Amino acid sequence: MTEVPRFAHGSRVPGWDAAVDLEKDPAEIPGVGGSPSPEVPEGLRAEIEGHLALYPDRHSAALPALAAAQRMYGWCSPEAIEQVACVMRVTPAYLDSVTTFYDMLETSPVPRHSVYVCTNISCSLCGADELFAAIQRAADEAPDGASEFNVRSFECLGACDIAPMASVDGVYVGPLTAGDVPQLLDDARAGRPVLPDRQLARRPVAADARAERRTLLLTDIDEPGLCTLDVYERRGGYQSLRKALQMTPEEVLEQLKSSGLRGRGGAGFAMGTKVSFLPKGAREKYLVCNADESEPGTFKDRELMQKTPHSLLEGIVIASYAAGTGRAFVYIRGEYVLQADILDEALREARAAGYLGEDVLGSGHSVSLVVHRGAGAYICGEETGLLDSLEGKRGNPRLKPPFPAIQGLYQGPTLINNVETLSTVPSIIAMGGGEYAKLGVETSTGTKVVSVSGHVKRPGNYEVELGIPSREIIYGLAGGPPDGRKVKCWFPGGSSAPVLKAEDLDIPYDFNSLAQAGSMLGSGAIIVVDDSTPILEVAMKVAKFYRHESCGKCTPCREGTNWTVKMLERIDEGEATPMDLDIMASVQEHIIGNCLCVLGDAMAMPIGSILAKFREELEAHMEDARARRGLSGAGASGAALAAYPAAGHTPVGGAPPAGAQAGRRGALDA
Amino acid sequence: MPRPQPQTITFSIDGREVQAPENMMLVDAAKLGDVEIPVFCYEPKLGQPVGACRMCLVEIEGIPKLQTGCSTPVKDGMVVYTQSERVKVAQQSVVEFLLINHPLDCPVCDKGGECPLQDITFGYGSGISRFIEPKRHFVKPLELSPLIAIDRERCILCYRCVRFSQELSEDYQLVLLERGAHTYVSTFDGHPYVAPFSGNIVELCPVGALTSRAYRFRARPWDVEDAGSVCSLCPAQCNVTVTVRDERALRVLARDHAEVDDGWLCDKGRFAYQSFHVDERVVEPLLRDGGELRPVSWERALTEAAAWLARAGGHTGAIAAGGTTNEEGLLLARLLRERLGSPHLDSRRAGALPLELHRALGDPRLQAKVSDLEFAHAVLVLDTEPVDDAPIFDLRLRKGVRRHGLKLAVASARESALEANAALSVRFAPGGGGAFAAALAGALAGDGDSAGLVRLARAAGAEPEQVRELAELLKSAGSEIVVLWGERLAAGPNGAAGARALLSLAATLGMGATDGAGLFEIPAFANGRGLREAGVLPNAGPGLSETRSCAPADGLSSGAPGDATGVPNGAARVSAARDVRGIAEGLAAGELSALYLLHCDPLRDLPDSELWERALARAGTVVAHAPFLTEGIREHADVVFPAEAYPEKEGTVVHPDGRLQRLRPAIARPGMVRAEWQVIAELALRLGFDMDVLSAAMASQRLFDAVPFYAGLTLEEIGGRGVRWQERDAASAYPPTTLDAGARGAGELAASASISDDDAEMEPGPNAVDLAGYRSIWDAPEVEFAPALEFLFPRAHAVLPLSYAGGERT
Repeated sequence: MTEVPRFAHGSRVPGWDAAVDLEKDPAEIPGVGGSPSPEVPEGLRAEIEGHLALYPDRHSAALPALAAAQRMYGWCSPEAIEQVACVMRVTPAYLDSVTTFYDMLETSPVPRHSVYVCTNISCSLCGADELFAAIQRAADEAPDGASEFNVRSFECLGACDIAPMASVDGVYVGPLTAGDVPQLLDDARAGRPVLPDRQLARRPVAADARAERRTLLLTDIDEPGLCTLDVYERRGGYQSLRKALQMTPEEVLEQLKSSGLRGRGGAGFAMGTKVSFLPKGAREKYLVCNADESEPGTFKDRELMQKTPHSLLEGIVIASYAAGTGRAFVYIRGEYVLQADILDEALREARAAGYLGEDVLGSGHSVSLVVHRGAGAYICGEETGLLDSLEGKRGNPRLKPPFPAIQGLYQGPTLINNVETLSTVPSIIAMGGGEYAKLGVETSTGTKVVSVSGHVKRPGNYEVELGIPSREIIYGLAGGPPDGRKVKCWFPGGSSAPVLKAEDLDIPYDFNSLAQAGSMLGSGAIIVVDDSTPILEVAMKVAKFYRHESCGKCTPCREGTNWTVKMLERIDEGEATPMDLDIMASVQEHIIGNCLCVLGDAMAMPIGSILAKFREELEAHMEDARARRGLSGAGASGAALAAYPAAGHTPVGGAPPAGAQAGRRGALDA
Repeated sequence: MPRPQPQTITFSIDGREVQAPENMMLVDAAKLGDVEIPVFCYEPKLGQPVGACRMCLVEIEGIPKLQTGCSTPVKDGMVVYTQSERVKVAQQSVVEFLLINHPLDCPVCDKGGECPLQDITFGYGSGISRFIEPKRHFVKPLELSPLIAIDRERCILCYRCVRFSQELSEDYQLVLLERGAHTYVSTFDGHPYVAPFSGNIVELCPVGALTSRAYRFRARPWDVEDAGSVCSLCPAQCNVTVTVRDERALRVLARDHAEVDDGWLCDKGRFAYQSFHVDERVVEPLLRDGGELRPVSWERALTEAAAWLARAGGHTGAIAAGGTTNEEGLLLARLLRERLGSPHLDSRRAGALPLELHRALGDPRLQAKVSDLEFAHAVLVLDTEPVDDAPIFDLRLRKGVRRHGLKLAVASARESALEANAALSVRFAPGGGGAFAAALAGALAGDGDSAGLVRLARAAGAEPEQVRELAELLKSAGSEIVVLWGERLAAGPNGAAGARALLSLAATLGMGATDGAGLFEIPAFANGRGLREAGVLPNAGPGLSETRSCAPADGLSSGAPGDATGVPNGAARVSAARDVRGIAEGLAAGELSALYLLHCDPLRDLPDSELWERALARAGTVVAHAPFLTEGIREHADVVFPAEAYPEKEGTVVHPDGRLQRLRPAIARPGMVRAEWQVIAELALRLGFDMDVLSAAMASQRLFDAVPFYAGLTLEEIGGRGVRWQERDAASAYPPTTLDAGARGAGELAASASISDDDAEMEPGPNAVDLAGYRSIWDAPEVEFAPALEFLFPRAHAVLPLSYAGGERT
């Protein structure tokens, strides 16, 4: 492909020169209708066929099948894709389209070991960008020249409590410093456990101050072996299931409704009501547990699945009984390797003990469960994106209505709930819905596991009764920002939530109070930013994350996130004027409410709030950056402004000088 | 499947009260009130809306967020605003977002002037741009296939093309790769997008991202005119719009007709127009002179042809095929029967059926229509491969399965493209279609266990168990059953038995009494049905009337041979008439001396090319109307009249479901090409026979007068959308048939489905293999001579795998 000089720096995108070879035959389903059939290694074929057997629709096996091929070949090469296509009886293009959607599926050859460094907001507040650079440098200095390490900066890996951290061949380690890097790489190279004392698997839940508080989910969470059926049963596990099975499904549903439990995934929709939306009748209905925990700053589901997986399984079986669903799936994000393995093992135990499968405990209720691993896409945490992904497609959200409760997975009625929501169900059954509703406040009942990260002394998961003052969580439990620093702003519910400032710290931590304050409880992840961090950096992290994770289906989100990042970059490069802040604010307004799903809003709301609340700082930042480029002193009206003469910027008082436009184009083409 | 019968509701849009069918999407319902809501991704032909582009945001009272009009079903009392300030801001912002990465290279873009993005930007954009960052860049344009160029910079990611590939044609070759702002349309690993319907994506694209390589830079919209026509390159007869510049066809687009094509075209129909303007086209009369075909004047060609035909008289045979119009067929039949005294004419590929069977199969009560293929409870595709024989029905069947839960069964001698969608696929041996149909009819009539069924199934080369399974499926599917069958089933040695089996099937399933059920034949030739109804059959005159015995006019020799070789049985009064095979044999044996060919090259279009080689070699005179000098014409024709291409023609054709459709001249005839009806009439005049036809309209009038069940038709009534004659009162003039499969109950025929010994003696399939009968969609001179499609012609001759173990490969 010839070089095309008109391309401006950074404007080339993947596939910019993707041409077709007219000599090739069209890529039809391998082995069907006379198209050639590749040879597939027996092991791979058997593994894929095993996955195919788990799902009602063969397409659903796409992600596990591609992951299997990647394990075998190191990446999803065209040959590997053709082989998978041959076994799955789909076109290779279908699989290619899926492969390129997901971060964890590699589309070019990569070195043997993967080191994913989380550089999302919580980790970067703790120095992840420097860590990433250090690891990259060290990996590039490989002794034999060719690096053995595929070092990638990754979006939030769901381990903000050990920030900054990395996932080395699927094993989470942290917190890391630049000094740990040689050891980390050596361990990985030698095939030893990587930094064993720093592995997430061994880390207890933030230990302090738990005694006085009422806890349900995190009670004795660190008891050794709680993830095994033995210990769980000894502690009264599966008693709630037995109790529920004594009741009618309607009675169970009544308990859920009276508990007032609101979904813990982000939207906060009342769970009991959701269950009651499922139409009655004989159609195949589905229950899907959303374990694609990807909201930056959120790591509560990870903790629950890792330490008390049986609570989740028990909750799923009870919910499936109440909703009349016969098939259940746990969609767990692909990065959670350890947790998925633990869930698989717990599932095996529960099935063997008769808690899952045909005729649960002789009740006549049957439910099957499959743990489905994702492959790295935030949007799959959106319920309809999750459904498409679970059906083996690109994880594009669907139009609503129809809502999943009416037409969801495989077009059947589907109940989708978050891990924490389902894990709470056994407690509700045990104590009774009415009793549960007494916890918390009226519109936000019960307890909530809050993930606190960023600039706090003791990051981690804390279970609190809803309605306690936010200050109590940030300062009382998590210890507040490091000594000598002040809270600059905080995200109350993951990075999608509009930021609040220090003066908002006394707002009660519950759904309605936060909504009234113009933000939201979201997934219950508090990210604290102290006064040492420029707000632009925060905005940039947030915007870049959503740009990276936008699925590209709807226009405002796809283009709006992209545009916002480009404008923020211009501020940082000293190429912006205050007018750009107005444009940026109006772009956020144009995104909010106009998208297919809420991902666009998830960027526009925090960015919009930052623009509104930190305008002065942003203008100052802009001016500093311009000064660095020698553009200061021109003020907001002189030559510097005229250098950005796009239509919306035309300064009052006349058209820009004739040369300005040409100069601008020239700069872009350079 | 019952078609939806929505209630009419009233809603308010921009202050107007509008009536619309309930649950119609707002975007469509708004049009009923003359309100336009702009869209990019919405295209009802593509199925469920995706709501991706967000262009159609509207304000609905009582809903806080703006809603997408493309996905909001309209309800009674809904109050909608499309002009409010909020909506305007949203529309402006979506246009602004879309233009962020759009290159705005309209001056050099092929879509310019007919571009929805241009129009909507003009109508709904803010008029200023606030985006000064670098746009994303792709190398452009690139080939996506030999037919289509892709310019990814212009793409607005509306999903239309990939939805077409994935959900309509279901070839799943065109996909989106990457995600977010990096998403782009592509294929797998540099493979070209080559599929029978790929060209539709060009028409779907709302920007200049996908363009036809054949049309690129040939014209601007203001340089061209549109002319409606009907593609008569195959029996599907899709409605098309020809883009005309300087009287030449530059492009063919779909002209939506839900009862014909559903708005799609195959690539042959879309790109074969190029063959109208190539050097290979015959554009002047040719006469064989010293072994070579040489151009001559019309005068000379007509005189010579007339002289030769006069000499041959009743020893003349005639075959009409391809896109011959009804009028041309009618005039040719009159010339032969009334002047030359020859009854030897045919328009079927593999021989005639007894007249009774023709009539019974064409019984108006038994005819399914195109939309029945989508809404029936079950469709049995029997001995035909839609994608090759009438491609557009392939899409229709897929749609039925996908959207309406149609149960599809495929019974064929070949692997079918529809098998993945079929609830049941059954194979039989090539040529075993008739026996298979008989076995199935027997199984449906309750002979599931008989030894006769086993014998018949074996004769068909099929598994008896599968025949039973298929019968079970049809019985249990519901009342509306359509059998889509190929002409080859009722042709050849077992043809009559196959036809009888079909009638038994129809009677047993009660098709005559059920709306939405019926038989649906795909004829071998594009206007097969029309030509039969116009009387181009050895044993039937216009309107399937019994033919009068033919006596040669004075001075012409009689050509009736001693015995009947052509017609298997029945139709005693015209037993002397030869069908297509009889004509070949007659020519080869020297019993016939002249052959008149309308749009037919026997070596390409008819089975048994060996016999035809001999026949053509021995024929004294071969007169042919042909657009191209294909082998048979080049080697054997003595006079070649240049034939019209379909957009040059004036006349009517009949769709396989009985819809008369009108061809109107869209482009000029090249060179010295003359209207073919005129050539035949002129030839008749020179033979002393004045048919009193001075214009195409008069020719059509003669047709409507000659065919009783077309009585009273006018060209105006046919208009641009066609008319199914079965739905007119004159249908009652359809000739009665003794094999009344359409009657309520039709007890006698149903009973006759029981397997008799006669049936069981049917010849086993493999002996009757008609390999030439399996023709690829690409096997046509129009494909061979269209530069854009040339690359596909070799595919036409790729091996079509036949599954029968004992069968040969083609």
